[in-house]
Amino acid sequence: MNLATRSLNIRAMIAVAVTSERNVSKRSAGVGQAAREELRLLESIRAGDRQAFEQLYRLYHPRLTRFLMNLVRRPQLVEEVLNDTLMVVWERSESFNGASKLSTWIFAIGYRKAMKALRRQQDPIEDPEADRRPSPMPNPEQELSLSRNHVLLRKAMNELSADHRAVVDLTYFHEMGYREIADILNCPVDTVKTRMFHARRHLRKRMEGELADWI
Amino acid sequence: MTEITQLRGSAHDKTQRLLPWYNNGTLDEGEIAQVKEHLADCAECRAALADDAGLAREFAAMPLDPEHGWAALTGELDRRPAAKTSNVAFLRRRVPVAWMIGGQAVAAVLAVGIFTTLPSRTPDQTYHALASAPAAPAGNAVVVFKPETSEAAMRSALLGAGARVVGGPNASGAYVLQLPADTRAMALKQLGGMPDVLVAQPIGSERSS
Repeated sequence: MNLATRSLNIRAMIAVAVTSERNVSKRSAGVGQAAREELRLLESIRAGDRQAFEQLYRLYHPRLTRFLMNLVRRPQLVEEVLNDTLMVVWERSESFNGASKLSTWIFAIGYRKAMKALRRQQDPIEDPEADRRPSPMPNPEQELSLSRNHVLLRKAMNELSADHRAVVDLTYFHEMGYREIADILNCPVDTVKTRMFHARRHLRKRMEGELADWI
Repeated sequence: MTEITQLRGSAHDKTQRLLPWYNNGTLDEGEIAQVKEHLADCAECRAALADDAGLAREFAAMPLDPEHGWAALTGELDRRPAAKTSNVAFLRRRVPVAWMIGGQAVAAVLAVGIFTTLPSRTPDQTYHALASAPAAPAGNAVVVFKPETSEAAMRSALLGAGARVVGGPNASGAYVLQLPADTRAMALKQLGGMPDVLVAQPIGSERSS
């Protein structure tokens, strides 16, 4: 076993140990408390409390923005889809029946809205302003402000389909389980696992040589 | 993703497919045990697990600003008709705690006001019919408890203050009390300091004490 391989194995074992630790402590009581607080906010929203809605908006803004950014990849569109999503929460809060977590319900709305927006974008509609509008992709200056890993990762993610990006994001960033992701995307759990398997393989391939520095 | 990969049903393949969720701590106990068992013997899966941890960390960095989006949505809320509250049954509406307490206090003050401003119900009667009920003894204090106060707690508070209920409760929940004249001030102070008591104050003149 050469030095590099041994070093990688040691890092991998450390990651296993750290992961085991996380598995024990991660889903702590704080998660349940946050979920209860969100449900309390939803009750107030049902009664027309706009302050409660603002609180929920601010709670979900970072998470949804992140999720939607990975799906639709255009800042203007992200804001539009995000606000459409939360407007559904405001106007149709009664339709949440508690069969899933509130976050699952909201993310599922966001996913449907995002896919609809993407389909709309793919329709060939003539846009005379297109040339004057700033590109949604980062310019070289913006890219310089990102780390090399982020640039590579972004490029690799952009090569995935929206469905694959959704699974990757919900797993890695939002730390959701595959069953919850299947609920959000309205697909079988095996589809989620398969998408993730392919996405990871693609990302690892594109990040080859860089991954060791991350660990 | 057009590439097709055949996923076999081996422990290795199953573990490979579960690693991201092993990493984020969302697997159930049976799955965790299955993954752990395989990881102990498989260097490839341990390396893949470490890759996943690195990827997840890289994903976690993206500063976001909700202000602009909220401002846009607020404008949209203002443009839409405010039909939200109309379909909510009155009794289901949530009332902020401050308003509940404030409302109770106002009701209590009104109740006390009614007791203290109403003409005396025990005028100096010089004539009594045989069927006349005896005049109720005049009280010298009014107390209002919070609506959720139990009967036992009220009884304990009144006994502790040496009070006797001579009237009430009225529609606002106010009781007229008879307190010993010499300890009235102290008893009211004691009652007023209790968490279950909204109002405790004297009524009538010193003479009625």
